[in-house]
Amino acid sequence: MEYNVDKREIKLDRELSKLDKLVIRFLDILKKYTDYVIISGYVSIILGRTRATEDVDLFIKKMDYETFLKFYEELVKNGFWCINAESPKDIFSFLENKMAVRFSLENTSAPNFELKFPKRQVDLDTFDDFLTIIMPENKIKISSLERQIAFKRFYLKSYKDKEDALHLEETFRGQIDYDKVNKLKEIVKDIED
Amino acid sequence: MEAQEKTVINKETPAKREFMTPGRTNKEDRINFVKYWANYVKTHSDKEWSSQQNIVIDSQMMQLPD
Repeated sequence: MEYNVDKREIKLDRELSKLDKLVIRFLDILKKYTDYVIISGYVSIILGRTRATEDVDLFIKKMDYETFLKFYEELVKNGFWCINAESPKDIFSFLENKMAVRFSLENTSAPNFELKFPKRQVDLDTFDDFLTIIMPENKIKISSLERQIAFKRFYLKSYKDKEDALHLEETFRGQIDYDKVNKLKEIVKDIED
Repeated sequence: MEAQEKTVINKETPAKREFMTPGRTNKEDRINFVKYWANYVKTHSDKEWSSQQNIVIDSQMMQLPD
């Protein structure tokens, strides 16, 4: 694994897990319709953390209903369903009301993809503060390591989240911008849901 | 005699092992393992660490296709 801080790229030549393959399958559909950035646990997992997860969290850029409908129809055609509702209008309405919606493979509930439109400015900023993981046959966009660490250490704060942050800090020691982490800390520590 | 020499020739030099410090509490032990594993990730090829990590991940994703 090779992190080029200036290029904001991580070269990764890992064996793909079943979860990685599912993520790539989902993203292949999603990125036809909107921009995305993966946040939270899966970022640590794809970069080596030894744990599984029930969900993969993503911010997606706002899209209109017509575009969402096409996205939804392609998901369904490819064996996914939404676990929050069946009607695309209802699902879109959840998104518009700043709620997350989850898609999983048909007849399953986990693992699932938790999609949400950015709610706050700090969420929106994620689209300007991402890294690209470059694998031999795929690219995946993740939020910056500093953003991950700040959210996990100072907003989410569970043991699991702190361990995810620690994994990134140890794996990329010497390459983390702690001034940036501290600035983000000041923003995320006061977030109220 | 010949077999014995062959054994010696084929024996790989064991890599210097890194050891994990046990924690005094469950929390400390988990943290020590996260650090130990992160060091493993840094010092081994992506294929090597990910093939081990995938055993953990895939075992919890039994319903997913290969």
